[in-house]
Amino acid sequence: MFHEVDWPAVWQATGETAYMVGISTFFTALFGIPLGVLLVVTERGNLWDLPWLQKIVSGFVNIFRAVPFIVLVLFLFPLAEFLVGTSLGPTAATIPLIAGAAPFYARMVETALREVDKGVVEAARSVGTTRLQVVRYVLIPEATPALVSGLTVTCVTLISFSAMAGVVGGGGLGDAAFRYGFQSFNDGMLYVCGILLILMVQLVQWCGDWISRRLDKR
Amino acid sequence: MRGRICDERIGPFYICGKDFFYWVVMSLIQLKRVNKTFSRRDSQTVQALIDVDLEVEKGEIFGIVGRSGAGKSTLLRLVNGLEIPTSGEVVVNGQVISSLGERELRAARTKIGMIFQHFNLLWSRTVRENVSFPLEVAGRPKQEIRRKVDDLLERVGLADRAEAYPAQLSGGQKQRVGIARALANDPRVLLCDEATSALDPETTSSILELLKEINRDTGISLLLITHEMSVVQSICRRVAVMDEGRIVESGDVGSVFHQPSHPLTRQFVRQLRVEGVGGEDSLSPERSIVIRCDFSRWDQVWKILSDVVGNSRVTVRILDGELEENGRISFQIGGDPGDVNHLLNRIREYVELVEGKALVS
Repeated sequence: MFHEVDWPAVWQATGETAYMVGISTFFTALFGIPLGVLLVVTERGNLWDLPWLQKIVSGFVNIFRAVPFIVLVLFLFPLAEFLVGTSLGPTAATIPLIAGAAPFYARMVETALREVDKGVVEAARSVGTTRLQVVRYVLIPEATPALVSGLTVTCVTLISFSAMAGVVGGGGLGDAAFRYGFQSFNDGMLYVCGILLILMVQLVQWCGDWISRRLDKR
Repeated sequence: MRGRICDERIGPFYICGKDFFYWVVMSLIQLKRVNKTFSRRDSQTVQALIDVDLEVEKGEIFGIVGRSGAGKSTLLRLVNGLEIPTSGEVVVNGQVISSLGERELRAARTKIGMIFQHFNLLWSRTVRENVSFPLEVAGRPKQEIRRKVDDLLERVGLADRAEAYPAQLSGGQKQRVGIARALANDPRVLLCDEATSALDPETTSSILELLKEINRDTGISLLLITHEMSVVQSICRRVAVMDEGRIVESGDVGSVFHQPSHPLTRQFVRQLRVEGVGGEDSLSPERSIVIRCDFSRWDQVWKILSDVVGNSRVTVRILDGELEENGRISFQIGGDPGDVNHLLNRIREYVELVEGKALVS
């Protein structure tokens, strides 16, 4: 069965998936964390107490989470073209991936930050910290293990989302499994790509759990 | 004594204005007709504090007792501006806390330390890093921080645990870290929010001992809130009793305890007496009762007691009491249940049983 497997294509697809998921995970964290922080600190009675801003950010996040990912990919064609110069290829595919995952992660960041003991924030305020210092020295460090495990879940979601990147010629294992495997009746290719995706998810989950546990001093 | 000084200076207060008043009185914390109302979601309002007046002097240990929900916690948070009064004035170190801008409020807070019932340590930081936190955010130089933190850890007896994480410490040790952190900026006041309520009795007394030491060595003022009368009794000079947002009684601990005028205070004092019994050794609590009588009846009771104690295996111990008219005496009787019952029958008409300890009836 495996004699039909086009190994060079498999390795290229693996590289593409790793590339897309890696870049989009990085940017998801970069946008998701500030968004999540904003969702928490602008809430009524919280550090900044700007409920109108909270509503705007929350609405924005909900819109992106409501749109099905495949629709997002099509919608964001123009944005991808504007940002990376083309709407095709793995780099272009990272734009909808980030747009889909960052709001998702922002909600996880929100939950993680809410878990931080209010008493600890109060203690920090009582020694004369600024509100920004509370975010930097208390909220984020105290929530780090939860932020890491949230990013792990997001990364796994990105791996499965990246399969849809084939639509814009992004390539990757999901696309290879579909085109070389499913559509060309090449079972060997289908299984190999599937197994590699499973291994990738396992690896990400294992690393994420390990880092999160290392950081957790509770 | 202090009250009299105030009365004499009330003249200059009106003539020279507020600043002079602060200067003369030398009180570190002043709450003047403070009200605090919380509005809840359902647009109902809750009056947490009603017309509260309070003064804490430099270097004194002041206790506020009350049941939970009495407003103690809100009162304490007014002092460092974590809560803002709805009306009235909060003055600390001569600054009107309730009207400071954010920057000044932050500066003022560095001079007002606070410790908490649940310690509120940063669990992602080591003991050393927790204590250095206030200095770090204040932007002090690294070397100074290191020296200062070493001193503080030495002071609270945790020098050997500097690199441990809070999760690895006992409750008492966590509170010591809390105290060290609160003292990092050399505050003039230390606010204690039920600081020993989560600790066992032994640890409680060691923490209270530490607080007393710090107060003696640095002259820092302590304002503490608690629901445990024994805490007040062991370290406070003055006490205020709070109920439903008001201060219902206040004064020197001794006089408030011996002549409680408000029913709630009496209840607290009774709590203290029962607590006091718990730790006795020779009279085991399971086999003894606590009895109280008015001093005017003590003569009759004593006659019976001295007679019975001489002839049976009954032990009597006086717990507390004031030898003056209107005073009351609490005493504990233990021994063979039959003998205790017999004695109880003879003195029943003169005494009252203290609740919770009437195991022989």
